[in-house]
Amino acid sequence: MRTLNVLLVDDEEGIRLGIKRVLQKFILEIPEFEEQISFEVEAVDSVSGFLSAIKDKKFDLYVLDYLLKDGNGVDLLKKINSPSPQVTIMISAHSTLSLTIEATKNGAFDFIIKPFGPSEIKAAVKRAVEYFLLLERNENFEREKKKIRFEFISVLAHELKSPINAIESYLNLMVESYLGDKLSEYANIISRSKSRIQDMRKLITDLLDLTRIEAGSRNRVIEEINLKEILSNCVESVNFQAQKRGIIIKSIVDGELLMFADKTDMEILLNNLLTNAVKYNVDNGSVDISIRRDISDSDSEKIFIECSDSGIGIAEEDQKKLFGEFSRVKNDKTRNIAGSGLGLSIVKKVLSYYDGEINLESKVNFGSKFSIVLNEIKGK
Amino acid sequence: MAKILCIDDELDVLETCTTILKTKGHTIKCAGSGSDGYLKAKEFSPDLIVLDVMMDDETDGFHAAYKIRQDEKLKHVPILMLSSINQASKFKFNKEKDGQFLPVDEFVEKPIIPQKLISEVDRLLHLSKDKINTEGVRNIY
Repeated sequence: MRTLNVLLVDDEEGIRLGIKRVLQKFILEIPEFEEQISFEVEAVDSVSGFLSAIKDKKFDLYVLDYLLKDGNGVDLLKKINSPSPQVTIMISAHSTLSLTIEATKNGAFDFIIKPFGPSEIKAAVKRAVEYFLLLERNENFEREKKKIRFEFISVLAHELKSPINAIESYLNLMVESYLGDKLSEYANIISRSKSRIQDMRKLITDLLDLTRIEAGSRNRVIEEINLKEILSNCVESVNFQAQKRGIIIKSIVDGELLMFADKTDMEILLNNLLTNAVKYNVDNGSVDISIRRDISDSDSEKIFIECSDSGIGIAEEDQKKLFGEFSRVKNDKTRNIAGSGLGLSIVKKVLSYYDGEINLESKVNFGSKFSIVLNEIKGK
Repeated sequence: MAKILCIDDELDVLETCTTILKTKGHTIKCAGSGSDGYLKAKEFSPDLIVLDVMMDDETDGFHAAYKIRQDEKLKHVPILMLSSINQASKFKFNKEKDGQFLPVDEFVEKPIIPQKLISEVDRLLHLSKDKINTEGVRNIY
């Protein structure tokens, strides 16, 4: 049970007592919000009473009479400017259109016209409470969104700051010739700096990808595409990296696998899987990637993609964190591997368009297997 | 000449510190995480520890510092903390004031400026030696 604080302002004692009695016995069930609401009513008879009441207490619901001895209800409305949600009901004996408009402009939610009975008060309060809960839910949602945004930006700032710091520290070493006068002595430092710059560039491109996907600004074209062809292009683009380390990529696709999807989405998906499988592999390791349609049903819209590697694997405690933004497994084996920590977040975002899912099986030192199920976009 | 342990999860920071401190003839050992650093500190018994805040783990650097301070054998080893806190918050470390809750002896900001690192390392090593000379034990903490 939750109690909402009500401030009632009316100069007629009968009305104050009446509303107070009705509301204090009133228990409101709002099933949509799974809430049971009771009311704590404070009643005052004037503008000055109202002002001293709001000084040290926060009210959720206001019930204001229009005509008061030292002012009017609309002026009071203007004084309620708390940042937290609140809803106001106006009471009036002589409702006119202009008054209604003025009060609404200043934030009044509803009106009850004198004379009224308990059922009218209850009905108005019920509407007001529903609106109040909605405002509150919306505010929580906004707050949560802001918090996530803020966290994202602070992690991002850190991710950008550390390579810059590393490079600047290296440059400081060079400026003061800490390793002597021969440029060749600095080869390691230079190559590390270049690799940190590459990290940063990758982070920036991934970030742009992610933002574009989130904003929905990229024009996605759903058409019939040939997954086998796309896969073989993706394999080709990572093959150079793979061959340098003796890693063999095998791809298995049943026939010409045609599906309705956006081509870039599929490229992002397959590229991320393949680059991860190569990056986190061991020298002379292997990568197997297969794509197939659900064979139990020839009309099925489900496509399965499986990518397994003979790589370093992911410890169980790291597996849970893996799909979060900027999540990178940090250990001695991953230390020299460049990555933005955004790849799998991007994969997840893309999968959301295809009602898809990604699962991971992995064992440290044996390798990882990422399995994706996605649903073809039909109706085109 | 002293034994110095550097703890950071970033290879580049370890590389930079090692390069700088080696020119002063110090013996350097490196560790890639707070927990590994603590273990290495126990076997290496360094004269000074250079410890990164390690923001990726959020509290890893501080956890390591607390563990070191709680260890009977290690609690007097001076800790020089690397951070880039100042870049964001203009935080200035004051040993008298902040030493109570931050169990380190000094902060050095990243990017690392070689002269600054060397002079702070020297200062802390001397401070710690003076304490040993005057008190017979290391008792800077």
